[in-house]
Amino acid sequence: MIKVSALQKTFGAGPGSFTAVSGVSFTAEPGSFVTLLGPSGCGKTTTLRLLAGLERPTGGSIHIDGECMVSAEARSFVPTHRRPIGMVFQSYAIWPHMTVAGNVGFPLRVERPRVPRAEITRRVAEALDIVGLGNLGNRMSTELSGGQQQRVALARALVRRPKVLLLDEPLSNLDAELRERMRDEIREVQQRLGITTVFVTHDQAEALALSDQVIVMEAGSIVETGLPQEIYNFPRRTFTAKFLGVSNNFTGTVSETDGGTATISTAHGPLTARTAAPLETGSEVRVAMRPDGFSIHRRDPGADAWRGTVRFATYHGDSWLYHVDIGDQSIKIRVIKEKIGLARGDAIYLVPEPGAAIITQDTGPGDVDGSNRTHPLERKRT
Amino acid sequence: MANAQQAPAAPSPLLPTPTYFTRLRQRLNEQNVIFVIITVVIAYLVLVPVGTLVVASLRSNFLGFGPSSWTLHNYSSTLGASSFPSLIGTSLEYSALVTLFATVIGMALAWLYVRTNTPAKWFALLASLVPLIIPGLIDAAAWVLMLSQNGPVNNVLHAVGLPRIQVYSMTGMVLVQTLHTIPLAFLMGMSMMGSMDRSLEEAAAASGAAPHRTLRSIVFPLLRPGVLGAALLIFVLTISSFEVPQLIGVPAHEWVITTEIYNATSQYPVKYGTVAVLGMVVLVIALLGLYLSRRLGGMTGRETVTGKGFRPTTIDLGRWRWASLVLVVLFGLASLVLPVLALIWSSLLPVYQNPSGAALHELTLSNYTAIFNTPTTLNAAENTVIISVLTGAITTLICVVAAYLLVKTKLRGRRVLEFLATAPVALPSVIIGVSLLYWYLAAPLPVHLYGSVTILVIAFVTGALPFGLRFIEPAFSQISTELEEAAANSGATRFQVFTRIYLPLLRPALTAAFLYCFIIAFKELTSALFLYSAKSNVLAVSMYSMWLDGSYTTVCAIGVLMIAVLVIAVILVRKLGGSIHMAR
Repeated sequence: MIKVSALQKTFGAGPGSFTAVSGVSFTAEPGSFVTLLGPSGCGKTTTLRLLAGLERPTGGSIHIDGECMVSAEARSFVPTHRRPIGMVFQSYAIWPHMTVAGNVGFPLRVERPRVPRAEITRRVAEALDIVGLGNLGNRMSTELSGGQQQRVALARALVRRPKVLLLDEPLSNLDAELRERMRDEIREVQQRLGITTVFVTHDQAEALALSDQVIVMEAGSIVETGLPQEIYNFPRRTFTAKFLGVSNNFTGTVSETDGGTATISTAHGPLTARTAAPLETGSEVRVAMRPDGFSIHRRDPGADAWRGTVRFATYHGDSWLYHVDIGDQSIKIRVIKEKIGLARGDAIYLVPEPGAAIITQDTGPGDVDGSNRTHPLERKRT
Repeated sequence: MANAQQAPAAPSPLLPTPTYFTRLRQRLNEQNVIFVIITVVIAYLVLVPVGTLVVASLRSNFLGFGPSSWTLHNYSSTLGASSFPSLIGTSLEYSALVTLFATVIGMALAWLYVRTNTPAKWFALLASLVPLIIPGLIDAAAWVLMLSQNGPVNNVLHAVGLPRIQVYSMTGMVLVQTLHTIPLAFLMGMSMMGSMDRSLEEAAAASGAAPHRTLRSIVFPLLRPGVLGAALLIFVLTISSFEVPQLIGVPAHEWVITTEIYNATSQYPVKYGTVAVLGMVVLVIALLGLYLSRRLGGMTGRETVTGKGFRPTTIDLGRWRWASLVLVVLFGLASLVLPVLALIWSSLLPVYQNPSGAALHELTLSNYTAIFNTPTTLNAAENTVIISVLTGAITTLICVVAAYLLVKTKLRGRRVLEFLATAPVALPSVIIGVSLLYWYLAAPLPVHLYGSVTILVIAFVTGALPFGLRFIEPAFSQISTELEEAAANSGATRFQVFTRIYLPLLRPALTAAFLYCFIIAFKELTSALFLYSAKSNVLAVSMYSMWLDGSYTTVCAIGVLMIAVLVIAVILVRKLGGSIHMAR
């Protein structure tokens, strides 16, 4: 289990200083897969490097299985090589002057008390088997492809049986097909070994696919924490909604509340959202709509339909994505299984699906964690 | 669109097929012609000295009167001479010691600079870059004065209980040449360590390796080929060096091959065969060293530069920070501050004396006024400037065309061109000087070049070629070929592509190349010493003869002015041409 409290990292001092990580706290349950998700420069990699001990925090503390790794307040610091970790780097960092087995066996060769040679051989073979490179031990590491280097890096991180596995954007240097395969393999190996894992990525698809818990970061702080399906379906923050591709954002006022739902009037028409916490009528809120949150009509179905004009359309195999002008705003609409594509300039009518709107908050100080989440999805974990 | 699809497959009279092929052929011819011209020019520059040397070493009576035949006698007599083992022994001892000390100190400084939080980094960089423009002759002169028996350095050494240094000795030679070479080792180490992927070390730490284990198992093995390659290059440059052995070694009777070559050409009758054989010895050692250096250097470089490193983390030296500061300050004092101060001090005295309160009363600008009242010195200064500017411009021009052909075309002979243009690294100035002297004395050429300014430019351009190319070729390969293709699609001719796209993008690299070659020519003594005449005299040669006459303080005054001119030139050209990266 990893416990991170009020972590802070400021580079430099004085007017030129830069705070990369500020007030970051989270807990990774034993055996869980936690993802730090965010755009470049959000502090996710710095957080991972603080976990590894490659940087010293300027505030806060990190505990692994109850043992203090670093505490700025207590002035204690366990250097990287004494932490129970395995790490995979974005560049893989495979040592070019060693064989595959030399790379994978290195963590065991430097272990004290010494690991017997026979055991090293056995465990290296075991680690290579786990990543599917069982027969490549004698290869020079420079003769490997990108995907193979990536597996060697994973085997090297696992061979010393660390308590925590740290992955720094390990998939970003692979091509699309290989990336998907390695993504599945990482999840499979992680679940089989039950190893607590912290994964850093800027790719929302990777984060959703792999994680037990997603931590969304922006500008050095945690914006939101939750299960992948919570984060995806019911983002609490405008930032999260945008980052996960819920691209249609509106401002409106709460006109009506009725138990679990609220009606919000926007400039284009009303939207309904499900809510857990009561909202005050008349208050101004931010609302997000998914591209598939509307049904689409060629003729005016009357009532609450929004009238728009198709600006352009893109085809995605399983769906069409229409960019539609409504008033002075452009929104994205996804239509699945439509045979005849609409063309530029076509007039269409959009009917928001009831309850599809998501009320979000603009990023403010502090984290919105699952405990005060207001959407009705049942929490599976506590 | 519809029309095009319906058009018949037969060639349409509207399609410009014939003219297109004519144009293509013309264009290829144009490129080939340039390629042939540039290859012939470079081949002439490089092969003439080597060829002359080989021929001279194999002729029984080269440049003499009477019959001459092919023979190996020069080799047997020179290499078999009783003095040869001690000559080669001294040369190797001198080069090996300088290589060892310069590499160790230079690499240690580079490590401190790149990887640690040592204080005063700017000072270390300044102390490594500025000495590159100080001519070897001036550096040697400054140290000879500083290390005089009751000089300031020896007095300090004596005061702290260390033995005095006798400058005219092997120790003095190694000391001065080492100080002169450390900046080069530092710069090579800096680029090598700077390009090493930090995550390779971090991965070792994350694997549980303690810092000393990471150094031993990861850092040292990865740097070893690069450091050895750099050391071999330093060895080659040292065994080809002339100024320090001539100024300091010869008075101490410590002869090395380069000084022996110069000595043999200045005695009458000149033993051309012996000189050529000694030249061949240096050439073979240099070629061997460079070949090994390239092979080793090629082994690091690419492999260690993978992926993108994170924010550079520096190693906290803790209490050792202050020890490292002492090292940096000592280095800066020895490589830059003390020599320059010694030069300025001496240049203000009518006759050299050690710094003291009494000497303060004798300070005068008479040396400087004397320089401006001596026509021969002014003439030499004029020649130096003309020759340096020409060398810089011609070398840059040749190199930019050669680099274009090497990087941006697929011409079949371009490997030959590359080999020829980089070969002069293995061609010591002594050899260029001797061989060109022989060639322009012996060859039946229509134009008489011996003793002219032109012959000096030819010699300096030859020596500067590989350095010019080292600045321009990488810059060319960084420019995507798509930029050329985009310009061609916009209707630009090949010449327009070159002048409108490449030249502006290459401006920083061209500036750096010009500057570096200009500085090389400005400083060059060795080959000039063989090739100058009364009318093509240059400053370095004037200073050398003044030094022999004992006019030490005048030499120092000229040295101060030369350094000042070079510093101003660097600043001016930098302002005009954008940023440069010295010796990258």
